[in-house]
Amino acid sequence: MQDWHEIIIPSTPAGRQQAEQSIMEEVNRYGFSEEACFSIRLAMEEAVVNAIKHGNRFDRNKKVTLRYRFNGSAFILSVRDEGRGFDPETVPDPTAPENLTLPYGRGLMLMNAYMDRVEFSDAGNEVTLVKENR
Amino acid sequence: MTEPGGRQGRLAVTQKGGVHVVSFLDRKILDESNIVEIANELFDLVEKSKGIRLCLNFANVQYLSSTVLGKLITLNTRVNEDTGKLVLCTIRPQILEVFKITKLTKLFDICEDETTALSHFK
Amino acid sequence: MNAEVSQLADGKVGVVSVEGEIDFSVLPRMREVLDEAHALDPSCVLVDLTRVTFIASDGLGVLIEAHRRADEEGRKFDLVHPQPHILGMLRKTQLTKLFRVFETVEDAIAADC
Repeated sequence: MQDWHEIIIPSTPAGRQQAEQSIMEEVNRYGFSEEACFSIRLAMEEAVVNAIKHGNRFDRNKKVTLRYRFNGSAFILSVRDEGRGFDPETVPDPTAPENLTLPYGRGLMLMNAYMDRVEFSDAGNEVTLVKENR
Repeated sequence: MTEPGGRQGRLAVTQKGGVHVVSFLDRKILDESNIVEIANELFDLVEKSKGIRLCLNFANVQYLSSTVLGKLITLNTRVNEDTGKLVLCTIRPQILEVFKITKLTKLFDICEDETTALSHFK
Repeated sequence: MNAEVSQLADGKVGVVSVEGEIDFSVLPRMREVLDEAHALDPSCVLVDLTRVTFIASDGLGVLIEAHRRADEEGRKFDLVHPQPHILGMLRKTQLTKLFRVFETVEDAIAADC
């Protein structure tokens, strides 16, 4: 099993882009399927955007720490912010009629739909995503 | 009948029988880095043409995130407020899946191809 | 009606999130919460109207008051995601000329609100 790679970024669009780009390069190089790459890219972006938006509350001075590794045919990514954490159970259902037209709130749903596993730390400020290559 | 159109930065806009048909241009992807500019161009277009009949052709779109969905929802709201109509077309299966999972297939008028989309404006 | 204040972007942005109906009876609370937001000394104050279902004209008055105060104090003061019928009201009363209206708090921050 490999060691974790770590990327730490400021809570800015440029930081997010840079981290996502280098991680996707690795994922592509590792030989993940097109479907798996799409899924990883989407879930990662949602997780990092959430970290910046909700975790670090748009404070550019706060960091987002991305750690990832490959374990056999699986890709594992953890995204941690400096926020106080949150309870994923409290997120409203974005597909409920009253929420369908809201321009936000779908990140967590997409992470769950596209990853094989989504786990939050007890503190709620770190999410771990796992995707099997198929 | 196709009328001459124009390029506005990230969008190619043509008019076909009174319908504005918009394709996404130089990027094959819609992501956080360019969605703000693309959205602004679309909102400007809608602002300038009240009651617009707008068809968004997703042929070039290989990727999109939930932020993009949010912008499309806003676009849809604005078009409808001004009694216009928005139709999305030529969405590849992987992208359509994102719309399905988020149940946004209920909100948007989505057609398989441009010809079918144009017929929805009659 | 519920209202609370939060700070984003390292204190630069103060967000007043309101839920429910802004009618005559809750005006004192609205003023209180807007004062709280100003007291944080942000560069911009956002009022998130996503969960506001009703706002009477005196409610609009409180927002206009707050906007004027923000102006005097060199702050920006904008609205976020009013529901369609409320946006309609803002347009009819020409208040969209006074307030900028953003779809999301994120958009407002990106526009350097």
